[in-house]
Amino acid sequence: MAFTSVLFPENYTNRDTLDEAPDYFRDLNLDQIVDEIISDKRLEYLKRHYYTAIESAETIRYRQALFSDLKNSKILLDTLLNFAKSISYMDSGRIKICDALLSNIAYRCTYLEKSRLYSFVQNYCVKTREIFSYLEKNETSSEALNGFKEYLRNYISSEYFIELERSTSLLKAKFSQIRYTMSIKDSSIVVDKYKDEPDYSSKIKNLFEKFNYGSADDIHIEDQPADFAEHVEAGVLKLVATELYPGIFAELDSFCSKYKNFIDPVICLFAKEITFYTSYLGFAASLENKGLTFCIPAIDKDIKNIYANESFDVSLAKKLVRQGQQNKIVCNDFALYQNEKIIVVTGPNQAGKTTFARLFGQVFHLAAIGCPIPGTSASLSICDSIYTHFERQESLITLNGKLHNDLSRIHSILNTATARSVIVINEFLASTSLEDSLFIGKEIIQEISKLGSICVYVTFIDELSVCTENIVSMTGSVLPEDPTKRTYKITRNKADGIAYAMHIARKYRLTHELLMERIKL
Amino acid sequence: MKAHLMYPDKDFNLNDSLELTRKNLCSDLELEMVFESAACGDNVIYGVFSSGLFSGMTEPETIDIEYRHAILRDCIENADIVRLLYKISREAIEKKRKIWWEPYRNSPSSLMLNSVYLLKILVQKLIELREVADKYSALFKSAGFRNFFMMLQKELDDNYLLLLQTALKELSFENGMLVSVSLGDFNQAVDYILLQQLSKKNIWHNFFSKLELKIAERDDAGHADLSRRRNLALRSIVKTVSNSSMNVLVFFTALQNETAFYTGCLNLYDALQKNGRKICFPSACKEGRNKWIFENLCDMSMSLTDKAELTGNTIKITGKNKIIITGANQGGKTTFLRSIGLAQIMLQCGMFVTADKFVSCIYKGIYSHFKKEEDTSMESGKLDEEMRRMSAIADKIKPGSIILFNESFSSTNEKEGSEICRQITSALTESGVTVFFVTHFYDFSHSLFTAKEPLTLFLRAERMSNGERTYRISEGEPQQTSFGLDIFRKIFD
Repeated sequence: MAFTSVLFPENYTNRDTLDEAPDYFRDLNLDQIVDEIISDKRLEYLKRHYYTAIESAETIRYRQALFSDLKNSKILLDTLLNFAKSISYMDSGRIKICDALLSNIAYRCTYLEKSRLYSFVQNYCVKTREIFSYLEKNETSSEALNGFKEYLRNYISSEYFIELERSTSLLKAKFSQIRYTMSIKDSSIVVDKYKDEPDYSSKIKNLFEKFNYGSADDIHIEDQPADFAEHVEAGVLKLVATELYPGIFAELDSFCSKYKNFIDPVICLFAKEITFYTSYLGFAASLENKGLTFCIPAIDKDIKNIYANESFDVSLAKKLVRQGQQNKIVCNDFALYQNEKIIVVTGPNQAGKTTFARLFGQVFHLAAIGCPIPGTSASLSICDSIYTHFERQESLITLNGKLHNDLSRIHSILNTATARSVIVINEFLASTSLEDSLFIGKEIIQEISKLGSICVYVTFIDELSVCTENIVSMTGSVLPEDPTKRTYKITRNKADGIAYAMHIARKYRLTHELLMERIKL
Repeated sequence: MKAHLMYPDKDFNLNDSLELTRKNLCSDLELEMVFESAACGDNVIYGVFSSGLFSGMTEPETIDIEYRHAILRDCIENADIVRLLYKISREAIEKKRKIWWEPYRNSPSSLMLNSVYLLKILVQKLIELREVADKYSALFKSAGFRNFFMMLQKELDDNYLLLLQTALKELSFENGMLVSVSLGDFNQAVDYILLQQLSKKNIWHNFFSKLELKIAERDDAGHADLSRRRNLALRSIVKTVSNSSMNVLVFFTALQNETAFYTGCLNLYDALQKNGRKICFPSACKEGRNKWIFENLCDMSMSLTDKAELTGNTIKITGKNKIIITGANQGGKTTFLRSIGLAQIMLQCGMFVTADKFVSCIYKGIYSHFKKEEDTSMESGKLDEEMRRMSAIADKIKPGSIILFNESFSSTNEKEGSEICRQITSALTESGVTVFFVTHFYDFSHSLFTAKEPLTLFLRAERMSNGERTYRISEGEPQQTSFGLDIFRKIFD
């Protein structure tokens, strides 16, 4: 089978993609991230690839290899991006022109439109050759790019392409010899062949030569708008074509009818799909410029140790960078070794627990679509699905109604999740009593533990961090010297609310010791 | 073609920004008074003169003093004609300043319009210059003016002036434009080049021909496109036309500046005449170093302001590089120092000086370091400031320069101040700088006196035995007191 796509390897036939973002996108702020990556409306078609998690390790690695090629060479990335832009520009231009030419209406079907088509073809030949020779000179290791390179090799030596190039350059040689004159007076333009009339500026220059001290300013003269009146330009060209150079323009006529569908469909698809890579890397680069790191994670279906180092919530990082507060971005590590399956996150409010939960979910999704993930190094399992449940303030629902909704949602997650699922739950039991919360929480965690899913469970109940065996306890922390300041670091730690309370107490001089002293006074 | 009234073979470039050391010179020598008398309210002259006065201080060897003296003598003889030349060139530039405030100056058509308008004015002014040359050139004797007038008559002959006027008429393109184009990427017209219409008849022979595209009367977009095409055509020549107008303007700017300098000299001359002051054209000694002959040398600022009779100084100095001036307070030491500084500057820029005779050598640079009036207290900050100024001078000064100190480093006590003075002056003179030093530090002056260095000269402000001052400076060894007591008595008795 021959090369067809840079997103899917040759033998991966299930290429269905989702029309809509999966449920967990909103909870994980992945919707914001995708909007950020695809800010250009013309690239909307890429969104479905961002929505669709892949379960095939081979396909993920197919993409990762291409990402790795592009990450290694900024020049390669820019070259491919420019190529993609040119091709899609030509393709949309071509469609408009063909539409005009087929219309058979005099003012639309002009020599100017025909010349535009010729111009696109000319550019297409150049760009295609350029990209091939670039790829040939520069070694790439990904199967996708090597496949594309081989495809191009065959295409460029095909009879069709050679003939396309030859006819284009023949026309070009003829057009480039044409130089004509326009006499512009009042409201008329008279065209004629150029007859070696001398130019005017040399006359002026000679006249004032004695004042030329070689120090004239290079004044800037504003550019004339390039947008001409289509009918005037077409009218002038028509006179030139029919009255001055009819032979040459007859050749243009036949050229156009022969080559109106000049763009190869595989190249066209490449141009669209490669943008998946370039858009993501462009977005990543905007964060990497601020000192953050993206890496390509090791992935597999069954993996012993799951971890990510120096990872971060991409949507929050982007927001902080935009506000010029990149120094506030805090990176976090997580790891699940051997039998560890569940991370229970506890600690003070506003300590970055939710952010941590998001980044956990984000990296699994990003890895599942083959993209580099935030972090310096990572190893992740391929999940069959991601489930999230984040606390939301919905005032219309009564407290009981809310708990009911929350629990039925959790219930349906537990019914469908498998050992290969990722579950992210962000404290939702605030609407019940502590006793009930503790009980329900324990039940849910034990259920997840039985399923064997990978889970992050954010809660304010410290006791939940010890309720089963395969739990890792992580906590948010505060600065020891100023307990009102959060570090936003979530670290492996025994959950103990006491440390934080002691900080606050010391700050207000309410520790035992300090209070004793004060009472003495 | 160039005026070349300042240098026989070099342009006169204005140095707008006075660097720090020159600023010091201006305030120390009270040059503001001189500038204002020269400018007579004309800010162009002020700018040119205040810069031109220092033209002898950078690369003084390039100045042909005799050349300027001859021109200046011509100016004094033919003041009205020189002022007329200044007026013509000044008007040309004034006009330009008014036009160039167009907001859309950089669209080809408006830039074209402006440039042609400016050229018309400038060509008119060129004609006026030619007329001045035709009428008055015989009255001038200096090489500078004779060459200038000759050049005007040769370069601006009748034939050339006629060509200019015809070309300016043509530039309105009343007969339409002929333009050549090539085909762009998609065969649109590109590379507009305006062509000379060789024969006017042939262009319109194709009336109603099949080679014509007519734009309908109500086709606004079409007409807009036509004027865009005209603009593109103009674009190919507008730079040349605009540069041409700018180049002619450069000629006038140079002429304006050079005549402004001499007009400034004339104004100064008139002001001095009015106060009955004598001037002379000084001479530079070509051989030997550190030689001075002055007869009745007066300070120019005082000559301009003071109506009373001034006491000039008459001194002859040969081969000294350290001239220490001491003596009575208010005895004319500062005035003497100023008169030397200013006369030296005026000598080097080719002007006259207020003296009966003035001979001196040419120095690579002229510097001054005067005690600032407010520096009387002994605060350390003041000494700081003095040292900082001195350090700025040290950054610039070269061997072969001259520097004038006026009670410098006196914001500290005599012992420390004297030591600073000694160290600085000896360092300067040993590296080939000539020093004039007005000081009331007896420690400093006396120690130099006892050292008996052959290259040191001591001058003293004269004081009659009755305590009366003559404001004359003559040779004399430093004395212990500065006769402040005399002044005290004069005021309190």
